[in-house]
Amino acid sequence: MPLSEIAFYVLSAGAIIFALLTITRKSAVVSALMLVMTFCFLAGIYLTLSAQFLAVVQVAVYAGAIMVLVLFVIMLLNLESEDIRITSSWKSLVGVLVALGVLAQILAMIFMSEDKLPKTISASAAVLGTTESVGTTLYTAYSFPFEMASIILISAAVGAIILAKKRLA
Amino acid sequence: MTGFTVSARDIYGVMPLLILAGTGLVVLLWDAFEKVPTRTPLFLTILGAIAAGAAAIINLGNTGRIFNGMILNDAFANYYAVLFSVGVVIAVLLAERYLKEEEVLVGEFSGLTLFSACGMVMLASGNDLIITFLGLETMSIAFYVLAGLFRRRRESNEAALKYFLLGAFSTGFFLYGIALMYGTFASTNLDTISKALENPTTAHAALTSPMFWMAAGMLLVGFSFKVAAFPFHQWAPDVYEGAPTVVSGFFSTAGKAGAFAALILIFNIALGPIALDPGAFTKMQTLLAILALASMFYGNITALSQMNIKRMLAYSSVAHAGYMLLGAAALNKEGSTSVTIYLSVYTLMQMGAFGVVALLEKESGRGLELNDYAGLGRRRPWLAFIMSIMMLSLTGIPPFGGFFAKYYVFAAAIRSGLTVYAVLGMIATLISVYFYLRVMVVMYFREPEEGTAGIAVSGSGTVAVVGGDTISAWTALALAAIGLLATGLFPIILTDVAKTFYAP
Repeated sequence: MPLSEIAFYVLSAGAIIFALLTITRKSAVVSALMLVMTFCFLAGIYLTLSAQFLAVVQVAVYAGAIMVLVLFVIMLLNLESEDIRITSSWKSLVGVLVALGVLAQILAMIFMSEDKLPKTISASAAVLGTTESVGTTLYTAYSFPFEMASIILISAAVGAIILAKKRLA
Repeated sequence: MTGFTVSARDIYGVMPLLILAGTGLVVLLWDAFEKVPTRTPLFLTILGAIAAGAAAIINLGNTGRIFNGMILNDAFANYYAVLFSVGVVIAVLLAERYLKEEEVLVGEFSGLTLFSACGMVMLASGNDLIITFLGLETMSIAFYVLAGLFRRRRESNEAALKYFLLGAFSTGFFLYGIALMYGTFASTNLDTISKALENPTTAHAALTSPMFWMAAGMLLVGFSFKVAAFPFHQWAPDVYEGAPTVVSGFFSTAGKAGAFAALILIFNIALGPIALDPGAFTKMQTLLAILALASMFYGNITALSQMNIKRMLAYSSVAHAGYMLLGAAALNKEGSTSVTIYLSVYTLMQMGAFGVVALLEKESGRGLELNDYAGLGRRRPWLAFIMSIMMLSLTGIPPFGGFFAKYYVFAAAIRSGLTVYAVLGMIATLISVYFYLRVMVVMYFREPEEGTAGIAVSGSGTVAVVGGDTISAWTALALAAIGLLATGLFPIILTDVAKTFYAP
């Protein structure tokens, strides 16, 4: 078995185990930390697919920034004291059904287009994932959407300030 | 692909957008450095919007794609940029006094209005699903905040939260749709998608794959939410009621126009070649037409029982989304033109109606019930007159623009084979006559009840009126009313412009 295949099995097993731990832990904080681990393992899978930039962003943004926010919210809400349990059975039933639906869809997509999927990573695809090529694309072909995304961020920042402002002007 | 560099042509092409964004930043900074809040931000906003509109008019004759084929810079995109600028100007003119009385943050209002207009321009000029997505998000995020500008009012907070949560959910659908489109065509560029559908082999492969239909469905769900079409309209009444009235007017006109511009760019233009496959064409048409019919009937029937004017206008906006969806269901260029004409007229009439409501609104959301309008015809004849014009135009009665707007939409539907749907749509219009004209009946033929006469005597100053009469508000209302009369008497103004969109 080639090394990359071993790496894939190890990483995906880790991701699945930690994902299961995320949904089975009683404490919300522990669940969140397990989710961080899941994201890290996913980042590892991206690395094996030679998507280095995506892997780093996955760790920095998802495992880092977003999960820190989630932890902040959990701690501010003080969920630790009361155990959060989904009581009504239909809610968990809906959740299971949605999850199964998404799974079925992903599987259908993979099997439908199996013949089109590449068997190995081509030379051009290997270069695509580097920070250099992502940066070049962002600043040339996608320069306009890249710059315009800043307007979204400003709007969101202004919104946050309005919500947090103590006194009306 | 990577050889692309930005040239002066690209920059000139997006000038309206740059002006809107630049003014937005200037306004926010100006507000930050001001010790005592003044109205200067609003003034700057109007100037910026006018400049953006002028830049768009200069660009009107352009044809073609800029920024590596990502942005449209043609008559269609620039026409919409003018429409959005008009929307911003009317909204800000109406907002001037309204915001001051309600102690709303003027700088933030101006900045966010301009940023949302940026999003709309992106929507109308997006030739790539990535741009469409960015535009939708820019517009929506600014809207979520605008809905919650009345921080002290519980309804406003509720509106913002509801809008945000449901909006985030619908964004997920939309993004999923884009991903599946990319999966089907291996591109997010609308030109590439269009070309793939013109080629019989690739078109057959795409149209027979469930991925394409799921993608189209997801995109449609996302758009239906943004334009408040049935069954994705539930947020609209609560949000329109809770949000500041001028903001509600802006959502339901310019916001709807932005989403519809992107919808017709995708469904009528990019997916236009679907007509080569009659089976798929009928399927797509039926999908859109059923959504349209459901919106028309649901909106109009529910509006019958609404006693709150803002809620009534919200449900009527659901119905109007239905009329426009019917035009879009033609799935051709004629349909796209008819929707554009409808949006132009609709922006004027809905904005005018919300403007009158804003002028009559009293502190903390009172004065919004239909009964509060009793006797208005005698006490405030001009305001009642303007409201009557808006109501008649919304109904679709000549000589106002609303009539021709409906005419073109139904004509486009009939010519593309949707006769049954168009006839049912006309029946839905008949239902709407009742609640639009009821407003006029209440204004002119009903006496105010004892103790609730406040709104009618507001001019004397005994009761605090939020909106109040100002020159700016009257300018906005006059602009809307004259626009409706002009488009109603001389519909050729609109059809001539619309004809240039697809000139060879």
